[in-house]
Amino acid sequence: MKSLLTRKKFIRTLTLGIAAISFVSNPVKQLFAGLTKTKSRTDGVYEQDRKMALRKSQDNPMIKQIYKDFLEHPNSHKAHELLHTEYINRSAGVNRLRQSGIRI
Amino acid sequence: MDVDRKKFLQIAGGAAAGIIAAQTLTSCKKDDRVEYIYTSMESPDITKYDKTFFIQVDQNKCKGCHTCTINCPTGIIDSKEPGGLHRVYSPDGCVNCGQCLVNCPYGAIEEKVSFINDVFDAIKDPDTIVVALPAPAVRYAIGEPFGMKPGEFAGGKMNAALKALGFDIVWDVEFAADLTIMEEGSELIARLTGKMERPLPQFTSCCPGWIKYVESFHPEIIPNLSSCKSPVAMMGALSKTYGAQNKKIDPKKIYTVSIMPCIAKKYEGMRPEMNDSGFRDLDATINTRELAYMIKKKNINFYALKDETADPLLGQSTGAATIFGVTGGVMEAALRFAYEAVSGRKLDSVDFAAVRGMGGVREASVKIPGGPEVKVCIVSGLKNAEPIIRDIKKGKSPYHFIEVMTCPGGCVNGGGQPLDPEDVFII
Ligand code: SF4
Ligand code: SF4
Repeated sequence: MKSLLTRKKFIRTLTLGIAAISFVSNPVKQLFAGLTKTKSRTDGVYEQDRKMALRKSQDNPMIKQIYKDFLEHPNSHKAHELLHTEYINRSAGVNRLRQSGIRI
Repeated sequence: MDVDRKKFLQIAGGAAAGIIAAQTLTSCKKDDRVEYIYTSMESPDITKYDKTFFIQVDQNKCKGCHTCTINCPTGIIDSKEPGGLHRVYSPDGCVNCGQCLVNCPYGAIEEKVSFINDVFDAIKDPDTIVVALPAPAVRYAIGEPFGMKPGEFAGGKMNAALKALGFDIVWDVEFAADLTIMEEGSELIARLTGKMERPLPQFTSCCPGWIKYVESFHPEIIPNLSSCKSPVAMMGALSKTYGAQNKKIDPKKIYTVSIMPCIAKKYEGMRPEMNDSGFRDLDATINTRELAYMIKKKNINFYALKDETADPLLGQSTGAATIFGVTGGVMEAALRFAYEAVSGRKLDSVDFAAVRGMGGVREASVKIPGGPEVKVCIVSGLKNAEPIIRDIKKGKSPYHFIEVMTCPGGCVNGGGQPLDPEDVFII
C-alpha cells in the first residue's frame, strides 16, 4: 500500500514550509529585533552618561591640558592643521553611474 | 584519585588534538566568519581607497529578497530585474554604511576587506608601538558576543581586552569626542556671530557615511559641513604628534588602530588627506565584530577580565563624549558646551531631553541667555536628510545646527556592530 505521505515527501514539504516561513518572517522579525537591541544600547549609553562624574566636554581636565600645552585654543592655527579637514566633490562618479542607467 | 595516568594522557591528548583542530579551522586565512558576517581577510590597498568595494553580495547566497535595497540609503545595491540577484554596482554611490549587510536575512552580504591580519602582525612586531583607539559605541556592544546583554557597559573590560591582545597603549576616542565638541561648538558660535564666513546651518561631520553622501550626491552643501575631522581622525593625528612627544616615542614606530562600530570608518581612515601628523594618521581600522573575533581567536576570557582604564594624556572623557554613540548625542553634547560658552552661566541641568529619541527627524529650539535662540535638527537614517537638504538648497532651512547619522539610531546600531545569533538566519 502506498502511504499518502512518504518520508521523503514529508521532509520535502517540511523544508519548503520552513523556507517559506523564514522568507516572510525574517526580514520582519529582524527589523524588530534590531530596533529593540538599538534601544537597549541607547538606554545603556544614557545610563552611563548619568553615572559619569563629568558630563560636559569643557570640564574634562585632559581637554584643558591639551589646550594649555599644545593646541592653545579652539580653532587655533595648530588645531586647524591637525583637527580640521577639507572635503572633495565626488559627484562625477555618481553622474557617470546615472548616465549608465543606474537609478541612484 | 579517579583519573589515572593513562586516562589523563588520553584526555590531554584529546584536548591537544581538539585545540590543533580548532586552530587549523580558525587559521583559514582567505575568508572567515567574523561574528556571523563572512569577511574576506584581504588587506585593503589604501591607494585605491575610492575604488574599493568594502561590501558586496555573494551571488551564490543572495535570494533576491530585496531587503538590502530597502535598507540602502542610496539605492546602489539592487538587481537588474525584480527578484533577481542583488549586488553593489559600484564603490561610487555606496557610502559603506553596511546597513544592507546587517539587515540581510540570509547572511549573503560580505565585508570585502579587513585589517585583522595587519593588526595581528603589528602587535607581533616588538619594535612597533600599537595604539588602540576605541569609539564610544563599541563599549555598549562588545560584551554581546561574550554573553553580556545589549547595552551593558563594557568599557573597562574592553580596555583590559585590548591590553590582553597586546596593544601597547589605549587612547580613548571619547577624549577626542570631547575635543570635537570644543572645536565644532566653537565653529558653530563663530558662524552664528558672523566671525566666520561660512553658511548656516552647520552640519556635524563625525559620520563618514554622511560625509561621503554629501560629497557624492550633494556637493553644493559641502560649505555647510563642519570642517572638523571626526573624533577618531583627530585622535590619529594627535597620537603621532602630541601623544608621541609626551611619551617620548618616535612617531614612526606608532601604529594606530581605529576601532569602530562602523564599516565606513575603514574608508575614512584610508583617505589620503588623513596624514596631517606627517605619517598616516590611522594605520588600520577594524570594527566591533572584528575586535570580538580577535579576542576569541586569542582565547581571552572576556567576561572574566578586570576593568581597566584608558591610558593617561588622551584617555579621560565625559558624559558628553559617551553619548556620541546615539542619535542626538553630538547635538546634546554641543548644546552643553555652547550654552555655557555663550551665556557665561552654568547649566542647571545638562539633560536636553528634547533632542533625544528614535524619530528619523527631530527638531528643537534652545534659548541661550544673552545669545540667540538656536534651532537644531537631528537626522537619524540617511534617507531622512533629503527633504532637509532640499530646503537648504532653496535657502529655506530654518535651522542653525543639524546632526546627521547614517545608521538609524546612530552608531550603537552601526554597520560594524555584532548581530544577535537568534536574529540571524543563515542558510
Ligand atoms: S553599504 Fe550602505 S550605501 Fe553601500 S550598498 Fe550597503 S546600504 Fe547601500
Ligand atoms: S552612524 Fe556611526 S556607525 Fe553608522 S556610518 Fe555613521 S559613523 Fe558609521
